[in-house]
Amino acid sequence: MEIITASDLDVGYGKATILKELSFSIPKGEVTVILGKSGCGKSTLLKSLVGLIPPLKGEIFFSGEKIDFYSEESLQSLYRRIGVLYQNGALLNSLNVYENVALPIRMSHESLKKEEEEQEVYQRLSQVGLRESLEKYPSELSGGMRKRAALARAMVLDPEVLFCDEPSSGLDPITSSGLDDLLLDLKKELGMTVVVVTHELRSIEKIADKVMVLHEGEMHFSGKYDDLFSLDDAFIETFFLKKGRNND
Amino acid sequence: MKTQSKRLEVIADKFLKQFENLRAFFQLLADELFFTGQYLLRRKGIYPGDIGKQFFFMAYKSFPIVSLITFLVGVTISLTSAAQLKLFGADIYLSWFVGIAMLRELVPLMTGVILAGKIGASVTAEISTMKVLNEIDALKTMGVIPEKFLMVPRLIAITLAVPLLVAIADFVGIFGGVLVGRFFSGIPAESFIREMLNIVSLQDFFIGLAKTMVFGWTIIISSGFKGFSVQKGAEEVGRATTESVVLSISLIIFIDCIFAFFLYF
Repeated sequence: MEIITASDLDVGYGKATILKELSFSIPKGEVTVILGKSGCGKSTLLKSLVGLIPPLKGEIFFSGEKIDFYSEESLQSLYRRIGVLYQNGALLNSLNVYENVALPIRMSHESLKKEEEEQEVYQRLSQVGLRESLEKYPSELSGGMRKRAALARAMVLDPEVLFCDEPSSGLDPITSSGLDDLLLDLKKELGMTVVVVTHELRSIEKIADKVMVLHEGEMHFSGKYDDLFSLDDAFIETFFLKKGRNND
Repeated sequence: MKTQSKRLEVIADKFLKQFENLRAFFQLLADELFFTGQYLLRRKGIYPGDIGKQFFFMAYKSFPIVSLITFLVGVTISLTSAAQLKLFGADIYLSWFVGIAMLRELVPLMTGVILAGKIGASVTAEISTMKVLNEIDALKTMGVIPEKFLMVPRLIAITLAVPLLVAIADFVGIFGGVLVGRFFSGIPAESFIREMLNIVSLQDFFIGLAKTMVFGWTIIISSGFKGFSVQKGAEEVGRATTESVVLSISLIIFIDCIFAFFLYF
């Protein structure tokens, strides 16, 4: 069953079209990886899926409901159902870890009791292994800790879909693998749909159920990860071969 | 011919860009009026405790520099005018001049300029850095309206901070005049104040306060506008911060000029 479907999507900035005529679907409860060369528009597509860039053409449906990018109500309804982990974490520097994770709760349920809020935040911080760092500010955290705190914030309201923009970038292989395990736990334990933008082969191998490959502004491949290697496709072969070498 | 039409095209593009900037500025102003009203009615949409934090920064952290500068302006303006008034044997009128000039003109203008440099620059730098680091996008995808979340606490805080800063600045500026009157013109402090109160009224204080309040709002809107206009890159943060101070000071002087027309003609 699909949770997100897009048809005939053109995405870009101003007059420049970066992605052309994309049609795809994202299955519920699975991990979908969007990959492609640097600058191919992966993050731009993610921004469009989370409502930050209105498509130039085409439509996006979330659980069968069309997203109206020019309606505040439609966008707010989308935001209530998604969580986003940004490339650099995007934690608010003026707030400590606890306050950052509590922010979505405070902004959406301002009447929630202090104890209930604490319970939610502590639970999420324990899941990502940051229970001891709640007083720390983002500037006092390492790159991996920032990502984990941002992940706790992204999932604090139990979103239906978690979007992650290059979660492994800037992290060492061990921390990156730990983050992948967390994403897999979310899928297995909570049935969460996860959409990940990455070009890290190790991550893709470990977490991907479905893969969407973008190349030169178009959807080059969209299907099961296992089907990717049965293709006789020069670009995919080159991409994975080169990436594999780089990762090793 | 081709070069000429290209030049015209460039000029037209620049004009359209400026027009678009102007439209965006007034759009932000209208949005902020709406969001502030909405917040005052519903008390939702901003981070709990943020108004207090901003008020502390704007009032408590600004009052030493505002006091020092207005005191020095008070002393300078008094020394300059005392020398001129002495020529006509009209030393006692120094108090009239200092009272009116400080309350109506110099305190609002100097406070506005100091706040533009101190608070305006900080607001732009903070918002533009948040934009570059995707924090604004993160707020949006949490269902938070950044223009409300970040700007409303600052607008409310400046509204609360300005009366305190103006009162302190008026007091300190006039105190500078009293010192000059006492030590350079031989006017006793009681006579200086008694004479000043003959001409200065509470209305003058409120005119100065109203002007400073408008300057404060102008600073927050201008600096927010410049902060939100940054797209990406650290160099844009620096440029936006400088531009916000220039824009705020220019608007303050422009608005002061409009006030002068309405008040004196």
